[in-house]
Amino acid sequence: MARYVTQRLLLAALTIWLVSIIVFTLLRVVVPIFYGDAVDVIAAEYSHSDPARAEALREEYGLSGNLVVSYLEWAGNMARGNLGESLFNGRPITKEMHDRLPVSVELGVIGLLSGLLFSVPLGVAAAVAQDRWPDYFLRTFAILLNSLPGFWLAILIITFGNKWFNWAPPLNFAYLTEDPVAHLKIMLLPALLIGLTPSAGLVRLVRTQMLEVLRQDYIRTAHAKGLSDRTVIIRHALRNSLIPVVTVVGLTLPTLIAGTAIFESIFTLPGMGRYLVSSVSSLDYPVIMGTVFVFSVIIVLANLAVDLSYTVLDPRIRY
Amino acid sequence: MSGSSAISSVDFGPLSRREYPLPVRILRTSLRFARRKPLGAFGFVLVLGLVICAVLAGVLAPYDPDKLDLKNRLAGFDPGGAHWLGTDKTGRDTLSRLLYGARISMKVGFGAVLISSTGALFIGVVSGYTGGIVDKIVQRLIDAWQAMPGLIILITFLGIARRNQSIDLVWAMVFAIGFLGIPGASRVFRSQVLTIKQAAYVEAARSLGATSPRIMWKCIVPNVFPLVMVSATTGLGAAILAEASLSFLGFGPAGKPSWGQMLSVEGREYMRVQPGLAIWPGLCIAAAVFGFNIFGDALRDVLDPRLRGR
Repeated sequence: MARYVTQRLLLAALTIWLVSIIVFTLLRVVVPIFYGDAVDVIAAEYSHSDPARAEALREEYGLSGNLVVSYLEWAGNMARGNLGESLFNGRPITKEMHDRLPVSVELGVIGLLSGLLFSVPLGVAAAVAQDRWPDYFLRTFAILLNSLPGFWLAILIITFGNKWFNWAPPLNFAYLTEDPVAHLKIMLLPALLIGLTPSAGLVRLVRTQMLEVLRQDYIRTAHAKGLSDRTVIIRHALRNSLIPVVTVVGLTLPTLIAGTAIFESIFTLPGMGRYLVSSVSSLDYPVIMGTVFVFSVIIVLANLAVDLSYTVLDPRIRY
Repeated sequence: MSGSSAISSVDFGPLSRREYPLPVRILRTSLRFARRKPLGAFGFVLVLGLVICAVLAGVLAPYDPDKLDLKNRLAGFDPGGAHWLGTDKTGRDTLSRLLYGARISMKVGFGAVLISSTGALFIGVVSGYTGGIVDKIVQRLIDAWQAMPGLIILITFLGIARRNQSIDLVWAMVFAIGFLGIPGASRVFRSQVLTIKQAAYVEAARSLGATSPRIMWKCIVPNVFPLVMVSATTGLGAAILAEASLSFLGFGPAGKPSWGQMLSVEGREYMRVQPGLAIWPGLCIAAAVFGFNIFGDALRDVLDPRLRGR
């Protein structure tokens, strides 16, 4: 057990280290090949090129010099929780994230929970009616749901909400601490939309897991001792089939993060996704590197938590 | 078949099928697929329709997709009229733009899947077959590659590529989406390779002195191939959705009619006046993704060795 935990922790640390190298290489080596660095962007923006001044700026932004040295510097600062400053407004990135991360996390958590609330009953229903029409219907419905672009639904809701009910998403953001009611009004719709795409996969996963469990001997025993179908399904089958569903939390995280980028942009919410989208347009290197890295660390840690939670959740697994 | 010897009337299973010419065999297999998986067949028809639209966009489109018709701005749904599906704020014909949009979607979808399938097949087969330290290192790299949120990397890459005027953004998208599809698919292929590796025919080939590259190419790859087809089909849906999301966020090829872009911010204020602008492009995206998903799903039931016989 202790060996397993140490092994997982080391693997996660290794992955985070590799991610940091990939992110750094992507932005400091690959991107300049395709376009140029932040200084080139500034020069292009002001249509002004003065080689001496550009060099000085590069020096100031830490873009010149040895790549290995700058990687070590960046990684060292990162390890100490200092993500640097935005090149364009000079705001410390750590502070900016401190305000923005909770918004995105809240969106993701509400989205995932509502997705679970929606998909677990449907998955169970499909499994119980295996190979009969409710099963076919629910499976097709799940694929259909998976094919609907969330942003399209958002646009339809905004367009027709406006046209028929004269409703529009609130323009000004309110934080939970300032005005909880207004806050929920703003967050609920994007969060539900974020949860919609992953729930399609969840319906199918819950269904297959349920089918697996329903064939077990202990389910027959439970039936044999005279328990009602309801009790067998909820107390015996569902509880056991939900264990692998935990894995999905790790697997759907990239989808949820992609969702925050899309829906924060549509509903103009001050979260991490929109922070990244806007910093990409200004090629704000430190911000891009910081957000991509933080997102990746979140994914790695979530997968680590999933791996470790198995040892607690499933008594059959002993390492 | 008449004229052949009496023995051919005995059903030899797979052998007797060889008597039919290839087109007949393809037709028979397709019909059997359609009978067993009607929904999958429906998905295939949907997809085929869209591919035909993409290929024949130049012939089918009633107008040039960029032609302005300022007299008929924001026209509505009018089948049989001048603009069947209406026009946008500058009077460009929606139907024509959708047909040309299919071209971009299919180009990105098929291109990206070609890159991701080839890359994943190569990595999966080599890593899985070689095993040992090579496999360990490759798998850790794949871990890191997969830990990075896909759409976020795409936004970053395309946001930067679009600044360089000489890069064709459609191809940049093909490359980027394809590249990001590699790790997930390679995992699936690798696990299949690990099973095939144990098969008796692989051992037989090795004992006959076949080299590793030859075994990988002749024994492993053909047996992973059904899985490649399945992952490519569902991957196509995902790639098209990724393209639409990127174009929607404004990171797609500017000035080209793409479904995602037609839904993006610029057009939003006109959607209230002309809801068709919000409906049709989304419907196209959904139909394409749905078609590939449902076809891939049926293909998986038929081809995936892990599900066979269930």
